[in-house]
Amino acid sequence: MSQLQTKHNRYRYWYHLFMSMNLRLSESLANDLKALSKETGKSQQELAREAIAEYVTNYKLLRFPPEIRHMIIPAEREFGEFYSDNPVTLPPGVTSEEIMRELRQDRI
Amino acid sequence: MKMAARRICYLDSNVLISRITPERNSDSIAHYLHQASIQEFTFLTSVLAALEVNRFLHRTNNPAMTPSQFHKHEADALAGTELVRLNTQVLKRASAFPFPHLGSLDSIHLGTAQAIGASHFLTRDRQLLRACDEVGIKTTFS
Repeated sequence: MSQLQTKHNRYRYWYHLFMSMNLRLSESLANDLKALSKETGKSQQELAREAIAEYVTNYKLLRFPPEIRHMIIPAEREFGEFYSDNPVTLPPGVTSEEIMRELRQDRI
Repeated sequence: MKMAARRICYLDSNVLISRITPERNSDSIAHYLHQASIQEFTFLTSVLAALEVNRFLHRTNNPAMTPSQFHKHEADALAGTELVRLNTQVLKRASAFPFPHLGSLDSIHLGTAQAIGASHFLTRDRQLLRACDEVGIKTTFS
């Protein structure tokens, strides 16, 4: 395999692994990003990815009142089905209620 | 774009666990959760519940469970449920409940539900159901 083909395959691999997008920035935002990149030592792409990730996470929290947003960690997965397709096997004769009662046995 | 605030349903650990160990009451809980999702409730629980699910899985003491199965069970139990951080505001509320029948962990769950303004609290636990009644949080969707 030629060096060019190897390089091309590597590019295709990266292209399919991460979504690529063009981002048009105003001159002032581009300058600010450049300055921040210099200051933090992170690439502009890295900073843009971090900013988008933060925005997406915060967006999920907009459904909550502002005063409690800081307390919430968004769910990692959607709700989906109620039952797991692969339930836990409990020891014979033991119920989950009994295990939970044991775990919370600090009661009167 | 502003998103409309949704009503909050707090899920106790035993409800989350019934998703991964289908048992006697699981169908009625599934029914309640279905009702809640139709009514566009958002589901929340304390980070404490994530810990309790973890401890529950350890307590089942199943040596055949691989680490990846363990993590899948944890993720299945918590799917679609936002976690609420434990902070001094929650602990203050938890400390303020005067009910003698309420344990420390129960009071943290109830305090969390109150702190985030949950209108509903789903649990299989009789003591917590009683405490919810006493503080005026609904426990059914009928």
